[in-house]
Amino acid sequence: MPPVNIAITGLGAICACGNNIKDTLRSFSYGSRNAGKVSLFESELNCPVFQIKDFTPLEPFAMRTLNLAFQAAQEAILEAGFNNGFGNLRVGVCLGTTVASQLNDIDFYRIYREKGSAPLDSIDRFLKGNLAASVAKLLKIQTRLCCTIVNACSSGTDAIGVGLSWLRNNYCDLVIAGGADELNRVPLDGFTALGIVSQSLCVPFDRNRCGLNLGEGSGIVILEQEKMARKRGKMPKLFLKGYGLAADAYHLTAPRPDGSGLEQALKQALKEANILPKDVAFVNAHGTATKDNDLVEGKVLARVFGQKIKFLSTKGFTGHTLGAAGGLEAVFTCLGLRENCVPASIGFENMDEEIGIAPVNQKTEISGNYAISTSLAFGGNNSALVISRN
Amino acid sequence: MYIAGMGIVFSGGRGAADFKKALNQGWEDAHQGKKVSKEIISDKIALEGARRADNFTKMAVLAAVDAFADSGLGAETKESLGIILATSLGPHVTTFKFLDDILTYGDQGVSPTLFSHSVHNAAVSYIALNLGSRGPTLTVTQFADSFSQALFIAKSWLQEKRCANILVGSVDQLGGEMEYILTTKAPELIPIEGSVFFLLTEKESANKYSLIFSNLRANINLNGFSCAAQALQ
Repeated sequence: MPPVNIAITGLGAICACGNNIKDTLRSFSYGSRNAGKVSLFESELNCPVFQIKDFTPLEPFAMRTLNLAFQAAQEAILEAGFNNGFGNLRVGVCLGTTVASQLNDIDFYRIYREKGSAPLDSIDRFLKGNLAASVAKLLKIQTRLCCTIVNACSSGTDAIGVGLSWLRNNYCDLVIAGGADELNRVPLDGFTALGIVSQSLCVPFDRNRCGLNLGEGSGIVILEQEKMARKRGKMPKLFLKGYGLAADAYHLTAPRPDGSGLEQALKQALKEANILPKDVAFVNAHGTATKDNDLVEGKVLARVFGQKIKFLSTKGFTGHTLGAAGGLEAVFTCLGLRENCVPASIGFENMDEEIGIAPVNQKTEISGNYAISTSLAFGGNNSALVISRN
Repeated sequence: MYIAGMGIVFSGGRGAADFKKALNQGWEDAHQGKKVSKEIISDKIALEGARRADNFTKMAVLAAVDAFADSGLGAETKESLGIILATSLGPHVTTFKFLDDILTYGDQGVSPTLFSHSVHNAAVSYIALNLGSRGPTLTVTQFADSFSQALFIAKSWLQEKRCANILVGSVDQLGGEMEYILTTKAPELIPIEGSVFFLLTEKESANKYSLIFSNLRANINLNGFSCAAQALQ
């Protein structure tokens, strides 16, 4: 297959750091951590979550996840310069999620459980709420390439990877890719039951880390064949160069202790990008702040990239946004390359000798043209993206 | 893409031979209801490691394992095998059980096992574990278009040589709540449950059944059962 350069021409983000990229960068700069008790739904749990405040959904009757995705997609589309639609371009939509794919409708189920029947009005939000299809519909895109990826916490990364495959195979000219998820009672209760939710603000890669905080948001990128972008007068500065994914085949909820699945995904992504580990300027790690994830991931990063690799987790700013995480962190990786610096891996204070390497603990300038975003997921899925600047 | 192997779990039995027999008898006559009975998915050997899994996962694991076995591919090919699972509605039976836990026991009394099995990609995780596959794995959901989208991705992965062989399948389960929802919303619909997997490859020599066309221009929503029926004709 002849090489095809895939450009990233638009970025969009919404998370607890900010409702757009500008505000998010400001929060990164100030070290703001906008966490508190959840107010979107009733809960007996008091753990901090990273909930988006002051958000007005465009479609008030649609799922919150869809509205988050739509807001981020609009920002990305505007930056890419498609203010007046996509013309004759062949457009694909590939988005990752977890919550939007599940019928987590407690109110419906409460009535159904009591009476054996229940009003179905709220169910329409689910039946008509497939994430990729709904975003395509809101953006008035008619396409056969419309896919929702449900690979748990790596969904957003894998959606971008699928978009890369579509473009390389010339299935389409442009892909709207990324992830979105809202805070929801089901995963909050589920992760708490698994014993991996922290009762205080999360501290990724820290020796005293004791679990994750959940968050919500959406991160979207616009991927285009470079030649198509140039044809319409766009001079791309960011590129998606490689994607790797590999299974642990080990355990439903725990990462393989030797990290070989993540290592395989990283090496595949590096090979696709045709670069060496020494070429990588920084890694935006998955870094959930759970004992297992950070231990395995940190050791793999040290093994593949060496002791001096600059890396960070942005989950101290956003919480773990599940299906959105890969999308948001791909956007943050792009921003690192664009801004020439990465924020502090906020929350980190104490080196964990068992991991052996430490994330950046202050705003850090970067040099080099390549960066990586990693995701590890329930089910043992490991994914990595290589992004470059010219 | 060529079909080198096929695995089917449906209300009338398990395997291509059972499915062909059911088709010849007429689908309606052959199946004993809409659901897959416990007997059909009680293979302890094939389901090793999936003892605690729900029926959604068990159906998918059996169909996938059968498709791989049917292909005759050697064990050495397992490690790099790709897996893509399509599902319209995911493991909703387990999701509703989890909601039941929340309502009965509160936010702090729910089962972690139910939660981890309510995630859409739990089934693929068990398939990878069962086969020892360390290749790329993906789960997609697009309602009626799920299987077609899985085929598009499978084709792109084979063309990119991301993997040489790939298991592509679909699974859906029919719980009481979903049957109520679907039949109320669309009374003409007859929802059933089951799983179909195909071992796909670009090697013509491995072809056992037929060619699958995943044509972007064909505006047709393929599903696993209709593909299997065509391949068996």
